[in-house]
Amino acid sequence: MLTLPAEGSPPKNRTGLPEGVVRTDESFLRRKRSSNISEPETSFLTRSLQALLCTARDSPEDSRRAIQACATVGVATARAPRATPGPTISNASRLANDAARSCARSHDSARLDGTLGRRGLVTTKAAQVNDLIEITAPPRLQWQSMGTSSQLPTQTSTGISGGTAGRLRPGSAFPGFRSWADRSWRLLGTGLSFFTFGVGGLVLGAVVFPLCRALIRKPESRQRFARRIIGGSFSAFVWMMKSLGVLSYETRGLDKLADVTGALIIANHPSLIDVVFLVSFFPQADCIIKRGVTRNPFMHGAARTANYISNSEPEEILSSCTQRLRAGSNLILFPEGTRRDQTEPIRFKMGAAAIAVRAQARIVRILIRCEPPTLRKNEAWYHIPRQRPHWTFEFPPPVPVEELTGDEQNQRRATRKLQKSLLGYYEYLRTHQK
Amino acid sequence: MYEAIKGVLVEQFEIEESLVTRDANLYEELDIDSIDAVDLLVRLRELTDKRIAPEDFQQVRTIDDILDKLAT
Repeated sequence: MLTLPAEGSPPKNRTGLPEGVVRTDESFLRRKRSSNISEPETSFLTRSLQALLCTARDSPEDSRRAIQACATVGVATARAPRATPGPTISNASRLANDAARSCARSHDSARLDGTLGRRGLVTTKAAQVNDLIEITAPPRLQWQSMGTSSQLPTQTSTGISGGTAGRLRPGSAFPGFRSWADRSWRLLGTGLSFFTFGVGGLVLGAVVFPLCRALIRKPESRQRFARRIIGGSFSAFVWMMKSLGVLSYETRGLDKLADVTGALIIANHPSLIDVVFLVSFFPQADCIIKRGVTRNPFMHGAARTANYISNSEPEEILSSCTQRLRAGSNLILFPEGTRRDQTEPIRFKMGAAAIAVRAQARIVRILIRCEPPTLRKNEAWYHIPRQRPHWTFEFPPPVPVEELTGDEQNQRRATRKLQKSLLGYYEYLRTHQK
Repeated sequence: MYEAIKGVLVEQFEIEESLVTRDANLYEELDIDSIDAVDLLVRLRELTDKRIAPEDFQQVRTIDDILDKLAT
């Protein structure tokens, strides 16, 4: 019979891990794939992790222990049979994932590595834990994470009704084979889509855009035409991936934005292809292109023909973005500057706020979710999640910047106020949305 | 020149005059953010007709550093 640790003071053995975690962990390891893990065991595991986490926030020493515990538990649960039912195991693994991340971030990682003796242990284990999330976490729970991890729901209905893929499907004689076949198909489809994207880009860059520059003299019509082509090809790419069953997506409220002008369209940036979606939704919008991309001759041609803003000197970006917004075009911008994991707190660069304030633009604050996460930063395209990823795009109505800055007249103070408001908005959605 | 820079910091960025010294850290002590830095660069160019490249400005931490960059 297992005894539950009191909240805040988990019993510890000489390895520094809470007693129960080690024991449960070992029994997991022993049985590996052979049998089911019982419900009380997983719920106990969840509770001891929770208790451990309560103590882990303050000192590196506690964090180290928490990470280690979470990581071993994570690895153990990863090895558990996929058919393990119930929400508790997914809660345990989610908690382990969150814990490993938050601990590793909140303390000096070099020091942690030192104490662990082996550099990279934390990250390797955290990665393994992360991998397991894709097996077990119910899809709707991915977005809400860390902030709420200490008040973990122990029984959620989503755990059962949610993530079906990867679990035993009733009526399926070979669940393992089916999920293997499904993933292989999606791997093939993703490869094919990206290959087509590359070839398409090559053809456009080598043939279509040079022709377009030669034949269309008027810069405005040339820009409009080029953007129509880019938007069209991006739509085709999205359509291809959707038809192949590689991904699915939904948009909420996009139809209401059909004739929005002079709006700064911002979004969080969880995956590689966010921009492809957004450009296919708003083909005539302005974009900022990375400087590295414009050096590629084909991309350079496309970016120049479509008259996108090139990421050059900060001062020029600020002024050209402001100018274009004032002239009435929409501008797509990822204030995070780069892809960022949905489980991490939001961090925005100041640029978006500065541009919005200078242009007195309206702001469309898009929320992108991708469940399960895929095509993240430092994640290869062939890392195929266990379930088909689903993108959700939420388009709230545009908000005038004055509403968010409280009519602050001083530009600098208004920018800071807006920055705070945007951060608060996205952080709230990240931690509260289901 | 130092007085001119100090003037910009106090008037445009509303930084308290007593905080501004030659070796105060612009980012940490004077609460200059990346956008302020861009604005400051523009003002400096207007004041001196000299251009500091944004890459060079990234190494700048104090007003003394700015004066050094302007001198070279």
